[in-house]
Amino acid sequence: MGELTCVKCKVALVETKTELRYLGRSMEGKALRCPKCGQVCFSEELVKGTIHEVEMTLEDK
Amino acid sequence: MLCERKPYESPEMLGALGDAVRPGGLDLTRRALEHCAFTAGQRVLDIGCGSGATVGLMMHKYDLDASGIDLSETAIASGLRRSPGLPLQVADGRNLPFGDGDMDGVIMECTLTATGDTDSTLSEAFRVLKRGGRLAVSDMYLRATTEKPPSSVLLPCLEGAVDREKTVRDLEHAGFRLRLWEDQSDLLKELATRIIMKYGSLSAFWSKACGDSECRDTPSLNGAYRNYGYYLAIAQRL
Repeated sequence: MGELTCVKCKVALVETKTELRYLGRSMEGKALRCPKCGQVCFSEELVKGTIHEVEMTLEDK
Repeated sequence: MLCERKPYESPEMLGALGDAVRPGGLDLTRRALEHCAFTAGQRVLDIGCGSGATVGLMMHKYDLDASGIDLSETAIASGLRRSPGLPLQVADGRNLPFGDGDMDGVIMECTLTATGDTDSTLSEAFRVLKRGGRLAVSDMYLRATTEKPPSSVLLPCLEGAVDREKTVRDLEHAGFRLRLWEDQSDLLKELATRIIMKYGSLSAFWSKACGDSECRDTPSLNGAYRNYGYYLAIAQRL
């Protein structure tokens, strides 16, 4: 995947530690974030893989 | 009794769990110690102490005369490298190197089910405890509504897990009276989500911990948190 840019700020996204919250739990993961406005971008791979597995775990599926 | 692959010594397991290699970590240990209400100076033994995180906590935060034993030479050596002088030794929970009634308390965290011999381990805990001494156990249990899933050599504690009723019967049979049972099963989910976020998936974690990318135990381990619960029990020696 090439370098992603924030549509609003026109700056490159950087990988940073990001706190995720779901069903009252918080967890930490790495995600691409705009250093200027803080907007976070989750890759399809992350959403369909890791985040989906966390969701299934927390929902007892 | 010992897993040949020694998962609790794997860098992946330690990376996910930290020094307190079990669900709940030291937070659950503090809860157990507070329920036991030990007073400063009392003697408390940690059976299955690993590298001694709980022993250090008991000594430095609770002023207890704490000591620990573990079968793993690697874990004991690691603890002594980090904290020389910590009272840790390599020993078997089924044959404790302490006299009758030496202890005011015994703590076993994710240890009892892993010993492969619950009766002998509880019997030894009973022997070294004073009358009225407290036993704190946190461990896996099998949910009553599920059939026992396939066990795994990676996690010996799954092999030894029994349901709540059997756990309580075992404690009573060994001469203890149950004072408290708390379901802490949410800690398994918490641990599973922490591992997924760190390693990408549970399968990736188990393959690394196992050292085998085609780890055949992965499916049963991935479902472990659904079939098993986790508890904290406080019992008193009669």
